[in-house]
Amino acid sequence: MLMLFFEFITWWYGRGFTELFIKVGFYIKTIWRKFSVTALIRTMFDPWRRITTDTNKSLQGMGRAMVDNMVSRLVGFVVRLLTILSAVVCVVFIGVVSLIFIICWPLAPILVILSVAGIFL
Amino acid sequence: MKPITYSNSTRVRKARFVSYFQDGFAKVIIIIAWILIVAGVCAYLFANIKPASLFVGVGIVGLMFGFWLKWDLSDNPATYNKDISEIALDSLVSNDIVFLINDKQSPRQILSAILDSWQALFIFKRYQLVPAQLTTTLSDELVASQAVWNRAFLIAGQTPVKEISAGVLVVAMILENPKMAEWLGSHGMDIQDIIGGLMWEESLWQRVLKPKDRSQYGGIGRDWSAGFTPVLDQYGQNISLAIVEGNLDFSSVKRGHVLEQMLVNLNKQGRSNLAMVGEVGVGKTALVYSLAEKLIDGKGVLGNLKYRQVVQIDSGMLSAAIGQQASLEAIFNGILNDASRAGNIILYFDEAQLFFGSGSGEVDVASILLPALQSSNISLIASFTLDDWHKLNTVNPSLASLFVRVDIEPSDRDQTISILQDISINLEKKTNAIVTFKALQATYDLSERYLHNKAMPAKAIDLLSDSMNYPIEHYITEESVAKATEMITNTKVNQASAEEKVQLMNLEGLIHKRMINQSRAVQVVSDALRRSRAGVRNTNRPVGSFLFLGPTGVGKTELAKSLAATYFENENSMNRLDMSEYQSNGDVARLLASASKEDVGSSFLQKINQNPFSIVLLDEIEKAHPDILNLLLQMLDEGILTDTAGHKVSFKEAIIICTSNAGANEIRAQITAGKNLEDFEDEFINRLIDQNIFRAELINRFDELVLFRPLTKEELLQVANLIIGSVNEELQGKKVSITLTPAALAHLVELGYDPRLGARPMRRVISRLVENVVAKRLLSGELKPGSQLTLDINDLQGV
Repeated sequence: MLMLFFEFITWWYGRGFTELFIKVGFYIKTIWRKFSVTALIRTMFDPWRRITTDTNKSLQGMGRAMVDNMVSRLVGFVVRLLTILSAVVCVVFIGVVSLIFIICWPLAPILVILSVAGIFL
Repeated sequence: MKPITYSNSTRVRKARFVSYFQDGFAKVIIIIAWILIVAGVCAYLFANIKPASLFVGVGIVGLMFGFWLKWDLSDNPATYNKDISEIALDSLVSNDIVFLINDKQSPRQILSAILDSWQALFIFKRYQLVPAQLTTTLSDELVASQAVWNRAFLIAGQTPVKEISAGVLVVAMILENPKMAEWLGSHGMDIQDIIGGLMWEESLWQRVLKPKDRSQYGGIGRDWSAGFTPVLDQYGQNISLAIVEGNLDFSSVKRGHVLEQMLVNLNKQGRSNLAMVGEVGVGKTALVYSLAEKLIDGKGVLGNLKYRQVVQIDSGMLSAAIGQQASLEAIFNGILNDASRAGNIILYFDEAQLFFGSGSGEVDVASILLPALQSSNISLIASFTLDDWHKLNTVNPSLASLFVRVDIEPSDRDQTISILQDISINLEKKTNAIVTFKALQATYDLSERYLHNKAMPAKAIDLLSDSMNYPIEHYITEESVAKATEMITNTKVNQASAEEKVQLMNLEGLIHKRMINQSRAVQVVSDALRRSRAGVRNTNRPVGSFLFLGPTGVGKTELAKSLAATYFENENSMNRLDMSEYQSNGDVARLLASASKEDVGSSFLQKINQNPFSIVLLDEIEKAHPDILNLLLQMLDEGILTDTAGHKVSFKEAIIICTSNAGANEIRAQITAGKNLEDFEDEFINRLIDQNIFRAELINRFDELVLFRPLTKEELLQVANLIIGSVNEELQGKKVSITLTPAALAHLVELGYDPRLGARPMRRVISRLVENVVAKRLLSGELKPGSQLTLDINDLQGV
């Protein structure tokens, strides 16, 4: 049992700590993918769902099509931007939580002792 | 042999420790720990409950333990290296059993230690092997373990997981055991069969260890750059979204190289339309689903194709909508516009001949599609059978040229068995029966041999699904598969029963109860049937093919009838064609009329399809048109004919008997001159070929040519007795019977004997003389129920 305890301590401050970083990276990458951030940045100024108006020869028609297409691109831009911002918020949140975790990880045994001591403080 | 070592290493200690906890325990611990931490912190800070800090401490300890259990203890793989100098069990054996074994155990002790492992049980169950069968044959000597471990080390190197698992160990014990080699042999298996079962178990184990991560599918913004598809949504089924929503898995399709070819061609600039060409059942649709899964998953897919969605157009829905809602042109243009504008759609036309009017032609969109494909960026996949593809190339070469042809071959034996292995797991869930490895092999073998309407793997999948209805003590065995095959094909597949064996051994005697003489013909037919049921024959040709030559009325047709009545239960199991009805070239189409079960009517091929294990009697073949005889060549040679609808019909389970009266006069003349049949048989056959009555290649294709000789008066007397016997059978209902005196019988023979017509006049004579007398006496009341009538020559002469 004592051997196992030492093995646990060795893992906690060795491979376990490394694993924590890998997991944090994995979660951030997952959020990035879930929000399709790369695809959204690449298509940032594309029309929303390809909704476009074909231009015709009249000046009025051309002007109208241009306005319509601008609106479509603007809608697309806003939706994408908001989604990217949501992803960034999530990543920041995960990042902060992860940072707290990373700081607490090596201190965990001390935190246990402190929490026991807390009964008497 | 490599030496064996074992130490109580860290890995072993960890494996032992983790074995005390069930799967999912780590998750529960982590959740409870978080609850304790949050509750403790809240109670301490907001309610100032000092002892609550202990909750936090316990929570942190729980969290540390939970992470250790989940991230380290449960993930403790073996390390395999084929070049090692010694077999260190503690690093090579899988995590679930490494703490149960050591280097001081005999083979029997090793098996006893791992017997509860699901991998060991998997092997036992899939081979219907009782563990005691193996245990009792294993050595109790420690020294014997070395061979087992060495064999296990070699086998582990062939598995995808590369570790000595319980399954690997059981297989090693079977293969290192001479007594089990006998068991393998007696069950018709070899080393490769056992390794095949292990690979099945190991591929499942690999899936348990490394489940597919399919949580991404492009994320929420995947389709925001693609257009809406209202018309397409109405007339198509989005395969990709069905995969995402149903979390479907098409990894069992197993055609990696074809999938790669499809991806490469779809990514090409210019012609990016695929024509998937293959027989019905080769898995064209499954491949398209597999492609859709790969595209929507996005991993390993080039940017241009990533997250593209495959939409299958429903021809039925299209044809139903035409006229009611809009014209075909309007609907189809809407579909193409949607697909083009969306930019992320690949259209899929299953059974494309339904769209292009080259087949049965429900709708014809070829004229609309051609300009659209030439001018827009639409990608399209269409599936064709080989015939339909050829038709499209002939009818509309411009459209065909827009496709890149991808040939889909039927899956081979290994691929099919691998597909069946994946599918059987799902089938087992429904039926609660275990599919054995031998059943999978039998499924491939029997579907390959007996089912001809589809290609592999579809026909094997169909057969396995049907076999699930015939479990034997909760197992699906090769007998279950044979039973299913018998039900589907009306063929005898299972081994002959004791009763049938007796019948087969005495077949000649049974036939001779109806047939007089012609011993050679009776024997060759009986031999063919015995070879068939014993499995000693070429399975790529008919069971037997015979040409019976001789005058009329000597028993050629009667032999076929007798065999049908004796062995095949009734004369109806004989499919007879009078070839004099097939004398013109136009009769070829009639002979090859559709054999599909859905088609109304009962064509010759349809009858064979429904009853392949039967006698096929082709009477008077010399009268058939030469084109029909050419078909006969194919039937005799390959055992297959293809009907007008392209369905293959097998004659591989049939006995084909052709009869001919050609040269009858010569046979009669030679026999009358006192010659034996054997004396002039070769010369006679050569003359038939020389006179162009039969082509040499046709004659060569028959297994046996049998000459029937004219009946003598003595034989005709026996025929008369047989006919009287059949008359008595008919009179059984009236409770009367008749007998004839020898003089009366001799009188009948005199009247019924005609060397030109054989036994045929005899039936007429008996009908005229005997049956008429009996009829009159029954009506006059002379012959009462329960009485017996003896007829003498005088009784017959007055008629």
